[in-house]
This record gives sequence, C-alpha cells and structure tokens, in this order.
Amino acid sequence: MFVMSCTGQAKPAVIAPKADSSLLLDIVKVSEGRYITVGERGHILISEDKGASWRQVEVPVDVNLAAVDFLDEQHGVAVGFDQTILLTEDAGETWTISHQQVSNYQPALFSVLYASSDNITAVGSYGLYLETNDGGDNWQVREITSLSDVYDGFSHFYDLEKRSDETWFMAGEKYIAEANDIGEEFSKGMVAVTRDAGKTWEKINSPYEGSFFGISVTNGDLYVYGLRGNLFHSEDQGGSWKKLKLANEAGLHDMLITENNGLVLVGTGGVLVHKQGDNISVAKRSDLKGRAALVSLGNERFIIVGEGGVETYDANNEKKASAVKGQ
Amino acid sequence: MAKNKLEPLVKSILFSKRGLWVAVFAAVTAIMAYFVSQLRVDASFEKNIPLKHEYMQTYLQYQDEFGGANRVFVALEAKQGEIFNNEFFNALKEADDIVEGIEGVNQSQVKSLFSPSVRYIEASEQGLEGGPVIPPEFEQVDKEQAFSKVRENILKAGIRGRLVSNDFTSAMISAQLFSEYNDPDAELTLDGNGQVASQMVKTDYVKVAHQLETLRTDIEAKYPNIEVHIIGFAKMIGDVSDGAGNVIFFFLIAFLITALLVYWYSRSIKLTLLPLLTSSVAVVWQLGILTALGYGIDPMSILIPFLIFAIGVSHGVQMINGVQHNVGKGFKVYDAAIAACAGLIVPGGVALLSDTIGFLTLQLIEIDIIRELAITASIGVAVLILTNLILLPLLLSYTHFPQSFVKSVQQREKSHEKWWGKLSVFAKRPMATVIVVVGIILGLIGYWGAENMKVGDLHAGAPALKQNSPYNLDTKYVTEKYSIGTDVISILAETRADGCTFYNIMETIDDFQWQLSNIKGVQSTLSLPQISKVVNGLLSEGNLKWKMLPKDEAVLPYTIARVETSTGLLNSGCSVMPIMVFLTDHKAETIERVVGSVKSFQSDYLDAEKSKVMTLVDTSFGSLESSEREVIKSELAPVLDGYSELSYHEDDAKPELEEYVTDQLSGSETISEDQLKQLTSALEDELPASGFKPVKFRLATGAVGVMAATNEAVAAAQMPMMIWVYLAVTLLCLISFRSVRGTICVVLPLVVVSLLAQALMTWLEIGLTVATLPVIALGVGIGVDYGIYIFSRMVGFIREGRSVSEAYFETLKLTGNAVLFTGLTLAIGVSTWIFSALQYQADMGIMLTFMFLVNMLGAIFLLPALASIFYRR
Repeated sequence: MFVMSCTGQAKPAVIAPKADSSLLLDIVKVSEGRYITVGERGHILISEDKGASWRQVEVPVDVNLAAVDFLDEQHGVAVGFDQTILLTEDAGETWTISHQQVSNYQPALFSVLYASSDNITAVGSYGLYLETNDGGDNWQVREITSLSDVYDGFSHFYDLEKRSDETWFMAGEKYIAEANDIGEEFSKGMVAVTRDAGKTWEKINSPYEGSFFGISVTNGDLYVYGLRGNLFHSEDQGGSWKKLKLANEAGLHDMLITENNGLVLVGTGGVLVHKQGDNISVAKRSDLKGRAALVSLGNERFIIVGEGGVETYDANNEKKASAVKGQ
Repeated sequence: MAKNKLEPLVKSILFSKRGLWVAVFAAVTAIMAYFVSQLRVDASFEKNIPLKHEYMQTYLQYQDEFGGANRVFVALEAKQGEIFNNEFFNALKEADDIVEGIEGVNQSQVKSLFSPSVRYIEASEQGLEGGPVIPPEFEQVDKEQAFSKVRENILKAGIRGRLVSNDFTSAMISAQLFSEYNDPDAELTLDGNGQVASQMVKTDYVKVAHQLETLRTDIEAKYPNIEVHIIGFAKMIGDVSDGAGNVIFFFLIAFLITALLVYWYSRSIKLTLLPLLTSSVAVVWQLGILTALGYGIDPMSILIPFLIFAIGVSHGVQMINGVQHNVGKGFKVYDAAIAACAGLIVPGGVALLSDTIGFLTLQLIEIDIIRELAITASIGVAVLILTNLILLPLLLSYTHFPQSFVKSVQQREKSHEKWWGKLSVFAKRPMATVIVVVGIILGLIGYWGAENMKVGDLHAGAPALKQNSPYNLDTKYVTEKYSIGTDVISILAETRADGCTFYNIMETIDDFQWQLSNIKGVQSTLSLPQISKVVNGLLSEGNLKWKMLPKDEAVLPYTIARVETSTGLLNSGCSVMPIMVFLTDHKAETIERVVGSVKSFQSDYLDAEKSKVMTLVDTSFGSLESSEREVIKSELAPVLDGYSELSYHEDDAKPELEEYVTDQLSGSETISEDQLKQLTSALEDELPASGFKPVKFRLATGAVGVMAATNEAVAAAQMPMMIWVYLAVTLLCLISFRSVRGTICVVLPLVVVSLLAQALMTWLEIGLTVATLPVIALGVGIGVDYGIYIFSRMVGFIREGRSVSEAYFETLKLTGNAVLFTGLTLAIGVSTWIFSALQYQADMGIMLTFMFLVNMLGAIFLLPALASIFYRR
C-alpha cells in the first residue's frame, strides 16, 4: 500500500536560543564527539564537543520528534508526530521530509530503526508500523496483526531495538491480552520479537501487567522497563524474566549498560537509577523535570535529555557529592 | 528710560488703596490657609497609567477577570536553612491571614501554600490524582514525613519559583488589590430600586502599605528566624509617600540658604523677609485652591509647591532690585515701589504667564498624574502674578530705607559696573561670533546626546526609589530567589467561545508562548497550552513522548477540564487565555523587545493565515485563469484584514468568516455572485472549525504591561509637548517684544539648553518617564524668564538707538544683579532635592538645577551675542 505524503501544512521549526532547554526526547551518538538530539517543536540539535555546546539545525517540520537513529556517520532518520519521517545524508546538518501524514488523530511514531541502507522501520501509536525497503523513496504502512489485542485493536509501540540484522525486539504499552465472559480484562505490557528483519512478529512472554516504555538488548540479555519503576531482566530471549528491585517507583524511559556492566536508567521526575551489581543509587533532578533518554560519554559520564533540555551528568561527581553528604 | 505709562494706572488702582488691598490679600490668605489644613495626600494606581492607551483598554477590560497589575507580594525568608519547619509554616499561615484581612485585598485572589486553589496533579495506574499542596492530614501526621510530602507536592504543583523560592528558603503570599471595594463599615442603605446601595470606597494604598509594614514588624518580632520582604505597587507608593514627607527638610534648607542669599543681596532684613513672605503666601494659595478644587497632593507633585516658592523668590528679587535701584536714584520708597511695580508687571507677568502655559502644555499627556502636576504648577505660577508682582510692591511701599542704605546701594551699583562692562563685550563682535559658534557646537552636542535619550525606567526595581532603598532590596531579593516578580506582562489571547478546545487555537498560543520564552530578558512564561501538555503526558502514564498538545479534539478539552479560572489562565467561557511573561527587569529595551515580538508574531501569524486562505482560493478556483484568481485574491485580502481586526470580546459579536465575506463582497463589480458563493462555501468547508485567524493577541496587563503603555504614551507625548511649549513661549515673546528678531534671540538659547538637558539625561542614565517628562517643559517655561527680563529692557535701549553692547550694558546695570540672583535662587531651591531619598525627586532636582543654571548662562552670554548679530546696523 502506498501512502501519499501530504506536506502542504508543514511549518518549519523555529530556530530558538532556548531550544537546548526545551523538551528533548531522544539522543544518539553519530560519530566520535558528535551527538544529535531531537525533541518538541521539530527541534534537532547537534553537539560536536561531547555535549558541551549545542547548535540547532533547520528542520522542515515543527512537530514533536520522538526518536532518532543513524545507520552510519552520515545517514540518519528522525520520526515524530503526524507520522513524520525525516532523513539526513550529511550527518544531521540538513533534513528532508520523507513521509508525513497529517490528521486530526494522533498518528505518532515513537521509535525508529535504520536497519540497513534499504530498510528503515518506524513504530508508534495504536500499533502504527511504517517501513521502507528502498531507502525512503516509498513507505508502507503495515498492520502487524500478530501483535493486536483480544479485540484486534492495538496499543502503542514505544521502543524498537535491534540485536542483529535479523533479530529485533519491541516494547510497548499494555494491551488487553485476555478477556473473559464476565467482562474482566487482563492486560500485559507489550514485548515482541522478529527473527526475519521485521517480516513476521510474535509476542513474547510478558512479565508485567503495566506498560513498558523501553527495551534494551545485548547479545545475551534483554531488559524491559516502564511504568512505576519496573525493570525486568531475561537471559533466555524472554522465556523467563527476573524483576530487578530498584528502590524507585518513578516511570523509566531509557536505559544504558555502562562499560563496567552497570545499569543506568532515567525517567519521570528526573530520576536516575544507577545499578552496579547489588549497589543501587537513586538520584533525582532537584526540579523534578523528567529525563527521557541518555547516551554514555564513557567513564560514567552521560549526556541526558528530557524536560529540562540537555545536561551532561558525571556519576563520579554524584558519588563524591553523596559521600560528602554522608559524612 | 522713559517714564512707564503704566505708573498712573498702577498708582490709582493699587497703591492709592494699598491698605485695602493688603487687607484683602490677608483675608484670602486666611481662607486659603483653612483649606490647606484639609489637604490630603492622594495616590492611586490608575492615576499613574495612560488609561486611554490601547494596552490600558485591555487592562481595564480584563482587570476584574484576571487581576490587573496591582499585586502585592509578601515573601517570608527562612534565615537558616529551608522553609520546612513548624515555625516557618506557622508564620506563613499567620501572615496569610493578616494579608487576607487587609482592606482592599481581593480575598479570592490571595495565593500561598495554604490556598485551597493551589493544588498538584500526578499520574498513577488509576489515572490522575491530585490534592492540595498542604495535605489535609498535615496537622496529624509525623511532621518530618508531612514536610517531605509538602516538598514533593510543591514540585508536582509547579509552584516552585512562584509561591516557593527556587532554593526552598522562602515562601510567598501573593495578593491582588481592588482599586475600590465595598466599605465594610458603611451602614447599609437601600437605593431607589430597593437594592442595597453599594458603598464603594477607594483603596487607600498608603494605609495598605502601613498595614503591610506592621505585618513585617509583627512577624519578624514573633519569629526571630524569619525575615519578611514586601513588594508591589501599594508598598512602593507607601514608601514613596513616606519618603516624600522628607521634602519638608529639604525645603527648610533651601529656605535658609535662599534667605541668606537674599540678605546678602539686599543687605536688609526687611527686604529679605518680604519676598520670602509673599512667596510663602503664594504656596498657601496654591495648595488652598488645589484643595478647594477637590484635588489632593500626589507624592509625585509634592515638590511643585517648593518649585513655586523658588520661582516666587526669584521674581521677588527682581522686584527688590527694581525698588532698590529706584531708591538709589533718589525716589521715595512709595514712588520707587510704584515705578518698580509698573516696570515689572509686564515682563514679570509675561514671564509668569509663559511658565503657566509651559505647565499647561502638560495637559496634553493622557496620564492623570502628569495632568495633576500641571494643574498644581499652573495654579501656583498664576498665583505668583498676584502675590509677587502686586502684593510684594505694595508691602515694599510700606518700608523705609535709611540714607546710609541708599548710599550703599549706589556704591554697590557703581562697583558692579566694571563687571557689567566686561560682560557687555559678549554683545560685540568678535566675541559675539565666538559665543554663537560655541552655542552652535553645544547645540549639536546636545542634539547628538538627546538622540540617544532612553524612554522608561532604566534600572531594576522601583524607579521612584533609590537602588539601595529597602523596597528595591526586597525587589532584588524576590527576583533573585523566585522565577517571578512584579515585572510581569500578560498578553491576552482573545478567541471564540470554547477556544481552548480547538487544537489550532491552542497551538497558536503555544507557538506564541515559545517565541516569547526565547526573548532576552524573559525569565519564564505561563499559559494554558503548557498545562494541557503536562496533563496529556500524565494521561498517557507519564510518558514524556506524549507530553504535547493533543491534536485529538476529544482529548484536548479533557486535558484542561480541571484547570480552574482562579489560576488566571483562562476565563469562564474559555474564550480568553492570558500568556504571562515574567521578566528579569523592566528596562525600556526589555519591554520593547517583548512588545515588538508580540507585534511581529501578530503580523506573521496574520500573513500565514491569509496565505492559507489564498491557497484555498487557488485550489477551489483551479479552473480559472491565474489572472482572474489574482483579482479575487486582491478583493479578498482587505476583507480578511478587516475581519482579523474584529474583536471576539462579545461572544456572539463576531460573525463567521463566510458571513463576513459575503457581507463585504456582495455587490462587488469584479466578483460574480456565483464566484462569491463558491468562495464562501470553500471557506466554510475547508477551513478548520476555529476559522481564519482565530486568535487576537492583545497587549497587555500586568505591571510591565502598564509600563509599556506608559513608556509609549510618554514617548508619544514628548514631541507635541515640546512643540506646544515652544509655540507658547514664542507667541508670548512675539506679543511682548513685537519683534521677530528679539524672539529668536530669546528662544534659540532655550533650544540649546533643552537639547543639552536631554543629552544630560542620556549621560546620567535618567530615562524619560512620568517624572522627568514634565521637567523638560518646566525647564523651558521657567528658563525663558531670564531672557524676557533681559530682553524687555534691552529692546527699549536698542529702540532708543543705542548699539547692542551699550543696550546690554545698560540692561545689566538695571537688572544684571537680579538675573544672576534669579538663577541662583531657583537653582538652590531645587538643588537640595538631589539629596532626596526618592530617586525621581533626585532626578527632577538634577534636571531642574541644570536647566535653571544653564538657561541663565544662555540668557547672559548667548542672548546678547545673538542680538549683536541680528541687530547689526
């Protein structure tokens, strides 16, 4: 099915001095020292000095952008509301609209995977699933019926991650997994897998009745996390899950695994949970502004984006600070 | 000099019945003194603002719904650590109760941590939860726990930086004042319709300020670990009027110095006391008449009586000089007084009349406080004509001079002659040419400096008060600790009924808010779409990816359903939504940036909306030639402009776009009826339900909104005021000298001094404000006196056939002493203000001292030099 791009109403993003303190939702490392973050009002910002300073670039749309991904140091994709898909071929300096569909409902794309030079796949609200197999010339909307709920409806797909060229994972909002005769419904957080680069999807055993906001994938491990600080770990492709206790009830939006195999998660209320073995520390932004995503700068230093814009975060300083406080 | 034709008249009307006249003056003075005892200080907020200005129309229209600019902030500071302890919360509750009890405070608009309308909301698995920031169980539960809950609620409620300082060391009570309120003490009476008659009384700001000051001392005495900071217009006006009382002290000093100078000049106690007496009589009359007319005295114009006194003494010196001179010539005192009176009544009258007119031009400025100042000053100067040109010579005629005094006067006049001889060189070339060149250069320098003169308040805090005054220190404290302050400007988004339920309306407001947020000098902004975004995020389980304006028009109303009108973010019909913009300061540039941004957003937005409609024309008339489409567009464009100017104020007053277009274009010669039908049906079907340009952004309420209007009114008034004052002065000179050349000689030096005075304002960083604008008019009006006194004599000598320098020499002999003295007494009378605790008084003092002294120099040097060029033989 072909979808005509309707770009008539697109307004370009306004270049604003305070764009770096606006709501930013995703961040990605493009090349050594170069980072790109995207967020509300079509904001795309580039740092070439590991997050010390940020420069907003021209973007042809001003809708909220929720996710960004890069194939290599030059080719990238950003997605957001109105099914907007933007492509860049010059490391993020210029962006063109590859696809957009404006409607009064809320067809939003929340996560994107630049899987190969041909395939880009984006997922979003109410089971929205868009893919291209010719590098963005043509986009197809697919209904992944295997991931629907008991009433054939869809929940929101929030995060799409890749383990290998063929194996990808997806996490999302809770969906109604069962309903009985007396109208009782039982929901589960969405976790799904494809082993053929998106051609077919299947649900995998979900450990939680609430929503998942993200999934993190390594060669051996799977982590899913979301509402109320829930974090689950699986060592067998989702066959079985273990709940990791974090002493935190705030929703978790993003996670990364440090070079020391520690886990760092960020989320609602500006929470930052650092788990190193059995050691767990929980810190919050003093203004409680939510944190949406993070990347590692190495040596326990991160760039975090969220409601307060961009910040660089040094976990070593925090440890020192809390050590001083503890004395 | 020929004997004055007026002498017989003056003698028969005035001096032959001098006893009667003095008695009349005494009786009137007694009556006026009675009125003066009734004088009250009259300060009001509305008087300070240009009510007719476009922005202030918005302000007046919405002040009841959204509160005007008249807020008071009481901030309690915990001296050690954070606010989370019992002592602090008790103090805050107590202060909150006191504030609510102050007469004139709008109790429904008092906000603090304890207000029921201050609530938080959060997402949970059950949906949204919310409650008051201070939980109901606050009193019972473990305090440690309770305080940490309150702290969290503060953050969730988004009131950090607004009701609690950013660092949690201070909390605030914010209150709105009524400009008038129902008098609770009044006895209830019924009006003609059997309704309870309303007993509205004006809020007494000075009283409010004193009650707030009592609050401060009481709380600080009872709670030693708490410091209170109070800001807001009412407090400022209280401090100003307290400070204004100190002018009595400056008056006494000026009085003493003036008395000493006049004594040194006249060498006679009698001659010293009489002009001081008549000038004081003038002040009594002035204040008496003011009270009789129903005015009070505003803290802003409290200096005017002192200015009148100084002007009175300066004219009195002229009169003494005249009498002395005549006595020196051998006249009897009685005849000397008649001659002096007859000789001075015309130039003195003209001079005082020009002062009066100079002040009256201030009536052109549509700010009541300046108008009152103008009335106060005009009355005073007009009264001086009676007291110092008539009463003073009458009184002088009773005096008696010993022979020795007459001799010493003659000797002194002789000894001064060598000085006057030296001065008269300036009326002869080449010296005259040099002086004129210097004058031109000064004029150019002045022009260059005046170009850079700034409008408005150039410094943070209340400009009426010194930077280090307690009020301004409190202001500094609040702006540093909070994200808000008194420097707020609210722009009102007017739209259709239920406007907040339409996505493109909310999106426009949101875009607008973002543009404002990015302006330099904007500290923070607040509006309804922001709340909608937060709630939408919370509705989606707190996922930040959903923190956006819901496009779905079923969801959008849901996100704002819980926002109450008491937040000040919407009206009950949801057709007006303010965008509050908190600024770091209220410097004129900051205000201009914000106002400029509002205007540019308006016009960009209108252009974008128009182009949408034009695109629609292109698509729906696709079959027509493009030239035909252009015809339709060019007809449509002005109609769209007209439509966008319509106000949404009356909910049903604004027609739908298609109706309006039909109305405007039916019967058009270029658009056929069918085309019009096609056009309107396209408009009806294709445009969103919220229509074409659905939002009208209106400036402005909030304290800075008022300042923006005031700055614009002051800037706009400056030119016309100067033109009028110069027209008046020129006309009076023309009438009294009957000479164009003479008028030029008198007026040109004034122009140079006016320019220099404006340049001085640039260099001293004094902005053009409600306080300094009148000073420029006063300076010109009074500054012309010297020129009139000098030239009225000089022109007589020139017409007798003397050379300009001879005429000038003779004039100086007659009046040189007096002119120098006039300048000195005036300058001294106002220079003591420079030390006032009130900044605007100090500014006025600097400006007036400068203008009086330099105008005198202009009259002594530049005037004769110009005359020597214009009266070349």
